[in-house]
Amino acid sequence: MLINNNGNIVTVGVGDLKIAQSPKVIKTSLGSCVGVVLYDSIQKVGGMLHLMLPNCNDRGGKPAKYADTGIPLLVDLMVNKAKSKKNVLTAKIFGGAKMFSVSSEIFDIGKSNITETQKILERYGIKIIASRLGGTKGHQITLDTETGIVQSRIFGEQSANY
Amino acid sequence: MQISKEHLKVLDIIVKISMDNASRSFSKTIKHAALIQLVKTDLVDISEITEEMNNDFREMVASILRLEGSLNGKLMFMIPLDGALTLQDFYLQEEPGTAKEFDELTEGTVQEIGNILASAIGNSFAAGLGSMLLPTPPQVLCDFAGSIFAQLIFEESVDNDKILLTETKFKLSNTEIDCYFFLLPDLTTLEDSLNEYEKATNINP
Repeated sequence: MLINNNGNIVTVGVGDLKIAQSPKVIKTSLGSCVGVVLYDSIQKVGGMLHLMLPNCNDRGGKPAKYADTGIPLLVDLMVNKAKSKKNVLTAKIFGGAKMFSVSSEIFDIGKSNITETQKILERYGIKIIASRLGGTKGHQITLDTETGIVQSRIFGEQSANY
Repeated sequence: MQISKEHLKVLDIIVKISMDNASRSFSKTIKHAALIQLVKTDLVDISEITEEMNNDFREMVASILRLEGSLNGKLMFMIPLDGALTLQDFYLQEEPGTAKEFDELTEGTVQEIGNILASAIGNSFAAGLGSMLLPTPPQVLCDFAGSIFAQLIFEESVDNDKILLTETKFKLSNTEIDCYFFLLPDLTTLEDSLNEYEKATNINP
């Protein structure tokens, strides 16, 4: 595939999470998956989780695939590895699209991902300060760890900053 | 998810034969050479493969089909949006540059190419298995490469961190257009199918 990567770009795949410090940017592409962005404006450190399902339900595998195991892991990385204070962390969430126009439950998972993500972040006391959710098209999101701004691009639409 | 090395080798041989057939059908349909640049079959980590795809910023059109019969699986033909317009001109035998915007004709072209490639794959597998393999009607997605690919592997990734994927890259000759074809075989039916195929063709890995 066409690689547009350089040393300052950190890319996150499905069921994965990464943290990075300024001047790096962190990016991913989302479909029905949800992208959770945590940011510490004091240290200029950001983290991004690309989750695909709301609950682990003892399925095993990568914890970052699920909202209920991935979000705690991202918070843990920000607090214990990046040494961010939990009370300075803010969250922005994106994605959760319904990509296929069929009634199958598995393709309507975006909505459940969004609901579970909001619930878990609330439980952690982390405020969601911006979001761009739902729709039927994919998202490309890019976090600038210098500013905390997330550039969100939806297929067929203008990109917008959050 | 597990597959033996021997069966991986057999699958690789079948896929290479299939893609050779697919390439000929593809070239014949668009009256333009479609050159195979890469055929790769491997068990891949879902995070690593999607990270690679998420580095591709291009907007794509994709045709996704299911293969049903003795072997189940998913197939996807994917081409950059601008490349799909050129493909449409080739397919409809119009002068290059005639198609200006993505429309129903472009969508139909991508669907048709997906069908042709899927049929070539299905026929190659069916020849060895001696049974019918039928592609379902295609579904077209127009989106970012990473978003489309994530949807392709979604179901398989729910219970597995690694998936079996074959990736084929074509280049349309005298153009800069790359297009991609992915096959995700269902492992539960693959094992039986490969055993049958080995018996029928005497392929020894």
